[in-house]
Amino acid sequence: MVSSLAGESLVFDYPGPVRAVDDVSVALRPGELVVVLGPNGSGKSTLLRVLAGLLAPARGTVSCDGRPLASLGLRERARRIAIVPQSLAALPETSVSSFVTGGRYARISPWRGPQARDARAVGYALEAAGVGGLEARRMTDLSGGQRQRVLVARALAQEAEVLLVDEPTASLDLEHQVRVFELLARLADHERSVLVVTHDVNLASQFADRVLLLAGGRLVAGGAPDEVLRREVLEPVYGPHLHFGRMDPPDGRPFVIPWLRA
Amino acid sequence: MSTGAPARRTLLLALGLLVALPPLALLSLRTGSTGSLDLASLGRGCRAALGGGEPLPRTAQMIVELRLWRTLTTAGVGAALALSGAMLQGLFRNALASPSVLGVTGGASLGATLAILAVGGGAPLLLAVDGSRASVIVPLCAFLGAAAAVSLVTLLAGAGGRISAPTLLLTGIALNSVIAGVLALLSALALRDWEVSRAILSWSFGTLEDRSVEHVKIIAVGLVAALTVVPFVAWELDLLQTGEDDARSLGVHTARVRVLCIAGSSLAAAAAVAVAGQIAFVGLVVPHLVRLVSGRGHRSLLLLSPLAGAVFLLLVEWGQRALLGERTLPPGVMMSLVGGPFFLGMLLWQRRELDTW
Amino acid sequence: MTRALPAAAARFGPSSRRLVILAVALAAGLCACGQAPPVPELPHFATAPMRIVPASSAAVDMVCALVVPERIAGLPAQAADYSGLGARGAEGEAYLRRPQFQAYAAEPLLALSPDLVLADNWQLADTTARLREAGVPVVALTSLESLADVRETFLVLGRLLGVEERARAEVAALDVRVTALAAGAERRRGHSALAYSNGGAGGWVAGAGTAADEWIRLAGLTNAAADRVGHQRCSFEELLAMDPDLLVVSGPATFDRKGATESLLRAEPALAGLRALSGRHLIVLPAWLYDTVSQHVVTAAEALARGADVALGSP
Repeated sequence: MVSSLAGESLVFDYPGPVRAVDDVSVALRPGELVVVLGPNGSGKSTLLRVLAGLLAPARGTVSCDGRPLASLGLRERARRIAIVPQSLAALPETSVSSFVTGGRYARISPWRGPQARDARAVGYALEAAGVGGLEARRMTDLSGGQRQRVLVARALAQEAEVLLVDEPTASLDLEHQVRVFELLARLADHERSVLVVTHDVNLASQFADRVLLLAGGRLVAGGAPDEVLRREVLEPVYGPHLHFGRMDPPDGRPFVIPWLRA
Repeated sequence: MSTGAPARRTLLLALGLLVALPPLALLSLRTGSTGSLDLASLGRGCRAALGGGEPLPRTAQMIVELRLWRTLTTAGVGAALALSGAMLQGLFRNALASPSVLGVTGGASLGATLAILAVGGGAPLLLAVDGSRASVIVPLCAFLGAAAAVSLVTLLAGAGGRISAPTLLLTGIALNSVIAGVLALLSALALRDWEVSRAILSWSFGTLEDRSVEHVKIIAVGLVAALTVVPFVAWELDLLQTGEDDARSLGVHTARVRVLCIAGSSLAAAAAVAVAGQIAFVGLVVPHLVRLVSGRGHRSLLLLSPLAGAVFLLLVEWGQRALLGERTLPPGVMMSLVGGPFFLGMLLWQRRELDTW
Repeated sequence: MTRALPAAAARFGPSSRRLVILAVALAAGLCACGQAPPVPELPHFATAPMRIVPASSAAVDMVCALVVPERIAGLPAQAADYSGLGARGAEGEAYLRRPQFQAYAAEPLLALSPDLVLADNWQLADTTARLREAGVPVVALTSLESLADVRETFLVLGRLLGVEERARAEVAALDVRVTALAAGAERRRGHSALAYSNGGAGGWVAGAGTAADEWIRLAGLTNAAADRVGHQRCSFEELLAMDPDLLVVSGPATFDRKGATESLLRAEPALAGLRALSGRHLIVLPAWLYDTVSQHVVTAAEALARGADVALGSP
């Protein structure tokens, strides 16, 4: 089965030179939710941007459905890969529906303009992201949680098969953190694959099909949450002040909390 | 497209401007240093000038034509400068960007001055359009100067998430100083011909008097060329407001948008400068006023700005002629008097935003 | 930011760089193939022009010396302050009563229905072009830098305006005055004079090839700044080094109510040692005379000669 998005031996250096991504290989399959974990500075966000095609790797290739990403035009890429960014450079003063319609850019022909199909896609996207009633609101009038969902809606409007999400819960309160991840897990269905970069280990445990652990730009572990969220795997990366536990049955998933040892 | 109140306001603004334009043009045609002309003669004279019908007696016909070209040039220059400013403000995501603040009109001025000195063989002339090569070379060099200025500013201000406003303004200030310095150097070198210095100085004041049909053609070409860029950048500029990476992830060809905006704004600014010298603040003030009414959507901004610019410059130009009679001010001076305080006001009002630098 | 420049330049791919080089080469090429626009020939008039508009102060001086006021269709408003008409008493008044226009622009000039417009060649080319398009002959007077230029222009104007006799008489009268000046020049010979102006933003002197140089020479004096060409900047140091026998400055004018140069010279402590500041060696010429570029260079020379005679204590 061809991966919907795959990165092969990726290396990326920032000017310095600072090696931010060191020989990392990732393969996304349709229908799965992959979470990339790692401490600050481990290269998670950089990896996401390389996979998205926003940064060109120094070595290695990114391919989408078997074809190299570099061979695809920008519009073609936007039809296949959608990004939910952590934050925007500036919050536009448009309405929510206007903003989400921006996601249709790659699918709207410059000569024919928006069609009924595009309005429908925007409607579906808003519903799927749980912000169905907010079309007419200004982007600047939304709460943090709503804003995050609108960003997801815009990515959904792109009707892309790959969703790359960068730190979606960074500024959300507890309820919304779970809600957003629940949404993302739901979105990872037969046609879509989702990759989420986060620092939240427990959300990964709860929702991920697969977890990748990055440290210092290298991929140090990968597998089901059960396999990765163990002391012998996490301690070398995060340090000793961790307490491991397991949720009650029938859930039974592992959780990790930072706890200062006496 | 936006819905609701802004859309209504946009429509009202568009209608208002379209309705205001013809009477303003008429007012401009009627007033002049030899007094008011009646509508009948104006009509006959204009029809004859545009190629049909019987002309008025020699002098009267010439006067009507002078006013006609002046009015058309004023409207065209106002439109071109406003469009240039709107494009630059969208590209740099900053309301303080404009062709004069960023040194674009200065660059066009320098290009035009160098061309004039070269083509005129050192003779001190403002653009004397007599169908010779000058009417092609001067606007061309003005365009090169304008494009060079904008490219330099883009290079230095950087293209990343947020364009740094201080870098933008400082680059513009630096560029304007360099250009003023070079023009001063030219004046100093040509000191013996101090008429040349005087001509160069006159550039910085601008002129809308005694324009010819050639000037109208040049500004029309510049304006139309810039307008053809609009459909390819209008939505894209909206999408660019959230950052360049974000826009690219949506499929926007950000490099292409940048080049098109630079080309479009340079063409418009260069044509305006080649035809009327340096006129400041129109490109800054007009898009800002349009944005206050119709919001930030570039699809309306890029179309309403030229319309508003034409109305604005016609109004200010007619106004100062009506107030000052024969002792009229050069348009550059007049706009500095009006636009300067406005710019200050804008800086103060945006201070809250600017505090987050 | 210093690292941004090469990084940013690298973003311009090879094709963009080529484009930039091409553009620069094109611009340079265009500037190199410069060519002066053709100068139209002098117009020929079947009958002498009766509605003449002199549009600069030099044109005013020369034309009004040749034709009667009735043939002047209009004058620039500045003629009152900047031409010799003010000094001609009642005669000058007759000319100043003719219609006046504020600025050299096509519409007001066309409204005067002129047969002929005489302008300086630095005046707005667009206006000149529009006038010519309207069928009005515009003759551009070249800058008058010497008496020879003045004589020649008088004769050309004489032919143009149909007053050749009068022109020749004017030239002859000028020559008489020049001879008289030369005759009295013995006592002034060997003394130096300097035309200096300073509005507070630095001093300027008139070197060789200027009108001031001409009237200094006609008065029989030596121009202390003759080693320079044209109008040049002059620092206090250079002024002290030159230390001319006589200093000639411009009197009060419309925008210079108090005679800035004289006030500055007298107030500046560094210049207290200048010989020309003592006695009557600082000669003030009325502004219109100091700035004249017409036949009044001779009038200026005469005023200077009178001032010099008083200063040098001659009988």
